[in-house]
Amino acid sequence: MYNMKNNPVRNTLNPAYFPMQKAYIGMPLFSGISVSFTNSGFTYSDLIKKDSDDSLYIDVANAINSMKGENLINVNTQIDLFNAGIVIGKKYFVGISAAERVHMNLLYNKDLFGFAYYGNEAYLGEEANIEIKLDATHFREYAISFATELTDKFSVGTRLKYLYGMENVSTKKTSIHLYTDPTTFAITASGNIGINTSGLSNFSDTENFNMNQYLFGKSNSGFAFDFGVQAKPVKNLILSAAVTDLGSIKWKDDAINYNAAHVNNEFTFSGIDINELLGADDIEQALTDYADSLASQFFLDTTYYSYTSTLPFSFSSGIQYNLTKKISTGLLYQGYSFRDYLSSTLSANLAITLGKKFNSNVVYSMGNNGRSALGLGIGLTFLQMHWYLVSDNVMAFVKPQEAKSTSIRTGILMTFGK
Amino acid sequence: MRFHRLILFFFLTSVFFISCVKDDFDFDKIKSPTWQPGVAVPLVGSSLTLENVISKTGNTQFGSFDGNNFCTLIYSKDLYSVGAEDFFQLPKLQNNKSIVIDPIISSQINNIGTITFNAEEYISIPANINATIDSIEFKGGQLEFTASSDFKHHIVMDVTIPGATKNGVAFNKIINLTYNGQVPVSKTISVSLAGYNFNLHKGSQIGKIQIKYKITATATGNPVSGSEVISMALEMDNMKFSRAFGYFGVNSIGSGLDTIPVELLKDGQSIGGFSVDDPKFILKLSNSFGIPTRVDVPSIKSLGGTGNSINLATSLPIPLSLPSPGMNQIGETLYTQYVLDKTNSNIVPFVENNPTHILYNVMIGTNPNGPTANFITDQSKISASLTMELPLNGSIKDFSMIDTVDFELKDEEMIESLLLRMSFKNGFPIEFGSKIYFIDANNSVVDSLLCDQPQLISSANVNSAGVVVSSVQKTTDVLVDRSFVNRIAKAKRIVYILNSSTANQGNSHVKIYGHYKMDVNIGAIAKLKVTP
Repeated sequence: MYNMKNNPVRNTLNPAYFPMQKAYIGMPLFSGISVSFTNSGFTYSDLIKKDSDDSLYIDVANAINSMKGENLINVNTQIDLFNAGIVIGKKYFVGISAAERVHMNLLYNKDLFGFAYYGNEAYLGEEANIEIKLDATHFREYAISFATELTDKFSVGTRLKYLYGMENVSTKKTSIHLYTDPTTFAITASGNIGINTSGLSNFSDTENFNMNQYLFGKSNSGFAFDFGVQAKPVKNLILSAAVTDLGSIKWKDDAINYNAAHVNNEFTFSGIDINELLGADDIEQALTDYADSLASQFFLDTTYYSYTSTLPFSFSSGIQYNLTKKISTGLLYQGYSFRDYLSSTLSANLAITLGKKFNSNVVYSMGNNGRSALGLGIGLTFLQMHWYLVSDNVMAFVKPQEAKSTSIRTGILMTFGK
Repeated sequence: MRFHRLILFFFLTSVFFISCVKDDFDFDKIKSPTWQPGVAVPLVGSSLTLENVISKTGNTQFGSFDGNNFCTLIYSKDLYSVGAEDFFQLPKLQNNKSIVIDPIISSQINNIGTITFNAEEYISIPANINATIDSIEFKGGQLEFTASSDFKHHIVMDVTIPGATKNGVAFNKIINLTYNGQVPVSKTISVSLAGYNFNLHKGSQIGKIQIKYKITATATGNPVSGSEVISMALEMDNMKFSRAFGYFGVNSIGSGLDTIPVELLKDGQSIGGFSVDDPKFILKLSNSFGIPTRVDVPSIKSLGGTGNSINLATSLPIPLSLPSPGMNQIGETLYTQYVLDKTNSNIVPFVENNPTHILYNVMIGTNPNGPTANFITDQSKISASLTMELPLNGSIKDFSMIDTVDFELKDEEMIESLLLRMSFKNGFPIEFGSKIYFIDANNSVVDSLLCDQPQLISSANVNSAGVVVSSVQKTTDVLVDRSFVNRIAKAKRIVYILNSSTANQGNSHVKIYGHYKMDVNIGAIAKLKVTP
């Protein structure tokens, strides 16, 4: 969608983009719906295999082999509640929007599955680092966009967003390091567990649920902004760059914090220490006490402090060249950052624009997950209605079992002028 | 037309792909998955020292460590003990006395109105031994006095025991026998003896209680037959003394021939042989009786499991010297002890006889030199005990223990294989072997473990003095497979045999120190098969 000139809401990806139309207004609830899914670790067919008798079987080992050290499961959905924009004069653009957004990012490492599936025997003499980084957020975004052409060749834009938080689950640094001695099998564990949640009582306490309070009365708020630039240094060449969703939400309502009681406390279990049982009147009770003492190493403390979660942010940089008035081609780098994980995609596109009526884009992309994908986008304008449909991996709809990621975005807007 | 063909192409292609995809997502066709993790678990991780084991188990009375941390096992047994209340007892005292008033006097009572007369008696305090008691301080007991009269006149009886005092006041009670138209007239009084000090009479009535009666009769106008009797019944029971003084006679209070069991080996334990370098017996005597005593221990024998008897053949003096506290040492305990070792006794073969019982005879006699002033308190005791000090300096050959425990293997279908790793870093000069047998309900061995391992734990290296110079580590892996698991799943019991000897198959004399240490690490890798 980034290079689909006819699409008025492509400025959600780069606020410096001006729409080709004079104005647009999104159909409430239909102006934009998007769903994207990524599992960089493995595909469905990596996990579910077909046997010679045509039955299916679960091949966890193969799925684990497909994983990299660190893998991301990412689910993003967005429903635009309202979307409108207008070009003022020739140099200014102002837009407003509201959207309901849910994103879930889960970073997991290969050891998480490897340790669970193979057991610690596979890690004798080496450290298994089990790490989970999770952020699942449901929030509403109210945004106001502004773009301006500073010169004929250079425009900038920004979007300021007020964020209304509804639910969140996010981990702080949550990792467990386990080392199994190859000789004695003594297990040394260290690590940290920190989990924050907000708004989850809505799911368990349905009797006291208040819709109005839920939709508008929460005090979880935050701010974010997008920023973009576009330059036309020479005729037919367009350079662009943007960053989106730089911001955070402070969670105050129904905030619960679960933290490990013994933070980073290295603990070694070498087996039952007979010395602890010597002289015990009741061996069974002594063993129970011993087990309780071990378990206490993993107790979680619960507190109720407010906390802040940051949004995963995206950034992009592209170069586009108009081969003709109707055909353009270019390269686009897109990055998605969650915590310290960066998902990168480099894509080449060929866009065909037939006036205001038709716009199509073919994209071939390669991501740092090693997979390539073919994306398609079309935009049709009939009368004042503009409908668009884009996907960055259309083959995922044909062979979903082999897709690591896909997305689809569609919407209908009314466009005016130009 | 071309457009229609294109549509048809896309339609057929879509149907093809969708049908393929549908197959891949038909979850009813997914076979039940199997999960086969290998779980490595440390089972035991301990560092054991003898000092720690003894202190943790609270058996400090069984082991001691000298300045060099050298360990000596201590085994104590009481041979004989007699307490004051066993030695000297005061049985129930019962005494009856009747007074017949002179008929001449009694016939005048109605004329005189009131007559008074006196009487007294001496009563012996019974004892279980031949003793002459000067005084007794009571801490308990009951004195009951019942007076009865068949006079048809009022009687007042004033009873006094001059020698029985409490807080300096002599025992005195008045009993009123008031005639109320019926005879006999009786009355009983009961007095606690606690706190009373009875000084018994001396002279011709030595060792007896003197009781005085003063009887006053007041006329009622009724006739007098001349045969009326006034009777008194005294009873002293449950007498408990706190102290007693006097001469407690010549008595024998020894044990006679007796035995005590020795629990060096418990059921299921046996030993091929052992030797000890310098064992000691300590015969300890204690006395808090204020009575001169003579103590003889004419024999102490060890009775081995084979029935072999070995006399300690001591060079103990006859009699043994046991001092007794004097009058200025009341409440004190005096001790004496005799040490028997290989220089003055037959102790080494005595111990190496591996005794199951010790036979002995303790003879104690009181006042061997004739009458003297004696005392006893309720806490007085004469006792004899024998303490065996076994310095852990020697050798043991083939000490073995066998035991049986119930066994039931649960969830065995999950176990594909099991690797048991036993690693011992042994700082003790003792080597261990073990065998484990799995027994089914028919008492048949279904399988065994470790039977091909003569040594599970190797002895530490020792020098010529038997002192450990370096620990020795030995790791044994036992791998059992699925078929073994299937076999032992039928087992109902486990019989395990533990065998141990000192270094070099029990041929080396070794010394055991408290700081010797054994690092025990037992772990297992279970290869599981889990089907959700």
